[in-house]
Amino acid sequence: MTLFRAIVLAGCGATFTGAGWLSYAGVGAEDQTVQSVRQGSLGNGSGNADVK
Amino acid sequence: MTGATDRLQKIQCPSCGAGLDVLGGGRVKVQICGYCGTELDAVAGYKALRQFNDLKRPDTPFRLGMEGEIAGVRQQIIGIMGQVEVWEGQTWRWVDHLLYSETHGYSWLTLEDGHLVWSRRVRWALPMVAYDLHGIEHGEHRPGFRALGRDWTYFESGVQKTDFVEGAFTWEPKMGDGVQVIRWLTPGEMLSVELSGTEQETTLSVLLDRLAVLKSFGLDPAEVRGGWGQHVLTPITVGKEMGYTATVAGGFLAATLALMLLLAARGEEVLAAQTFPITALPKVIEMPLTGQGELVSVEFASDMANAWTELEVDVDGPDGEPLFETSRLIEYYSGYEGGESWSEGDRRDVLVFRAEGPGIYRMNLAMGETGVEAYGAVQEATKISVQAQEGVAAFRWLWVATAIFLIVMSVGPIRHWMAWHGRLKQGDWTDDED
Amino acid sequence: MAFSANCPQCGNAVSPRLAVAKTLSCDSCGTTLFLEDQAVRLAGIQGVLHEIPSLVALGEKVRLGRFVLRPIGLVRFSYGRGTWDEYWCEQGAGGQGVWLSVDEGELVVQAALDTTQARLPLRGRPSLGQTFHWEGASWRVTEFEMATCLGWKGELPEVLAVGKSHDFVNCSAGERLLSGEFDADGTAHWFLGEWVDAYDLRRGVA
Repeated sequence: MTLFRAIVLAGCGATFTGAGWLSYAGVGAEDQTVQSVRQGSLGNGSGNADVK
Repeated sequence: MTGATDRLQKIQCPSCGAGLDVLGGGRVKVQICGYCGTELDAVAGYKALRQFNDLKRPDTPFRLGMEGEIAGVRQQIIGIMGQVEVWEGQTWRWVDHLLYSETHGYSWLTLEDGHLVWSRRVRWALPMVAYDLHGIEHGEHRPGFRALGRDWTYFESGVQKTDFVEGAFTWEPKMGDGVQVIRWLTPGEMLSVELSGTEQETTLSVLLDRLAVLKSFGLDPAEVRGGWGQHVLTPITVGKEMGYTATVAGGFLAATLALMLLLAARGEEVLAAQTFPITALPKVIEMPLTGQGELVSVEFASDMANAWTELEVDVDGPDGEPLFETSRLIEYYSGYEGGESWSEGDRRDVLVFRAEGPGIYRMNLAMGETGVEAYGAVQEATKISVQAQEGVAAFRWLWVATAIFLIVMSVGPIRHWMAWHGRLKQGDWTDDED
Repeated sequence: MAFSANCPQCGNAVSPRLAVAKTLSCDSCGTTLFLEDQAVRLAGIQGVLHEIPSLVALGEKVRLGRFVLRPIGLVRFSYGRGTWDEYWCEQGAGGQGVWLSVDEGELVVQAALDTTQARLPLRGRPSLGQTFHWEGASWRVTEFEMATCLGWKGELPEVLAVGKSHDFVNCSAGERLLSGEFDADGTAHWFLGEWVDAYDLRRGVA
């Protein structure tokens, strides 16, 4: 296998794995206005005017 | 296959007395003395037939009798022809060298701007369009045809003349007479159709490995000028991994689409669709969630027309503590203006949040502000529908991956197409499309 | 019943191929033999074929475009200033025998035209440059010469006399070639086939 082919295969594989994981985990899909600000919660909690 | 003449034989030019090697096989008809231009009859005792005057010896390092290997076959140079083509005030010159192989017969080695091209006669049955000069000159689209499993595209046509001849030939070369040629191109190969006399001759040309051929003929590549840059027959190497790349990217594309279906099926309904009158608000709706930190999507829908409604949404976690509070604006307007129907807004809206863990989540729904826009039929919201799912995926990443795979699949074909059209542009066809 | 015979010249066992090939040279003494009324007869001299570089060799199967051929016999003809070779070939999978004509890299595969089935291409003798219509194509006489048999070896479908001459024509239409041979008494034998590319030839076909 040539380097080019290896790069194509690895690049496609990484793209698929990365996109699959991000999608499965739902990263970035929550509405910006509803992220929780509770301590230890999953949201980043910054810049949300509407959260308590 | 001929064994008619001893190949080491020499003759003497009856006109100038120069010693000439007898070259080629039994099909050789004439031999032209390179010293005085006298054409000798190879069939009838090498008697002088006529004399060519004003021969302009072309610039070529190849000499009669030189031997080298082309296409894996030993070939000897037996004839040299200087060729010239004039079109719209521009002049092109090249040198054709007639080659002879005892086993494979006659072919041509062409030296053109330092590039080496090998041509041989083919006897292919071509469609009429291949010979149709009138159609080419008057057609609106670049002509082409399919033959021998390849797509041939019109490249150029012209009238070529011979201004130098030397050596042995299987026909009697004519000096100064124009031969109409139509050239067709497919990646890496050119098909030249000669329209002269009663027979149409077709030759197939490919570009040779310049260094290898020069060395094989015992020439020093450094002393042969030119051969730089790209020849129209230079094989197109960009996109040669197109097949592999398309297969890999296509496979991952299919996998991505399959994963989308899987993730879409994974979503679990935690709140069946329920509809209630707007007067039932404020209202508390319970959502029993089971997942660990999964995304939950809540979909709201209403029935207003040319109106807007703001929904106040507060969600408390399983521990009874507020998780967040937000509002959703649902609005829908439509009308008929300037002969066209229009609409704006959506009667549906979706709220996506990340749950913290399993338990009963309480959603407090209340009416916020409402309003109407008097565009005609106005209806304020009378009812609200709510439904919710947990375990929803962020499909945007898979769409990004889909786009990347599509780009990866198309880069090769696009680069190949650009390279191919770059080649075609070197020809004489002009229209807006090319 | 298996064929069994001996060479009348040297007594060596004759290859059973003589039963299917009309003529054959004796493996042992090289004498030309032919079969007549189930008896092996001598067929006189075969001529001497000096070795010249060739694309194909007797007994070696080759692939030529869509043809898979095994040359089993060779006849060399002279057209005056040069020679060409005609190889009698078996075709793969029991196909009919064909002639492979090899003339300075110009290769043609031809089969005898069954003139009881097909209309004769031309009545009488054609002339060089003449065009005619036959079997839906326009044919042109591109060559008209005299051929002399210089010699032969191997298996052939007919008895050939070394030194005997005949007139022949070649007529072409696209990639097809129609050849006619005219005996001294005017009898015509026609062969139809197609050009094949010498650079497409593949040796060492299993």
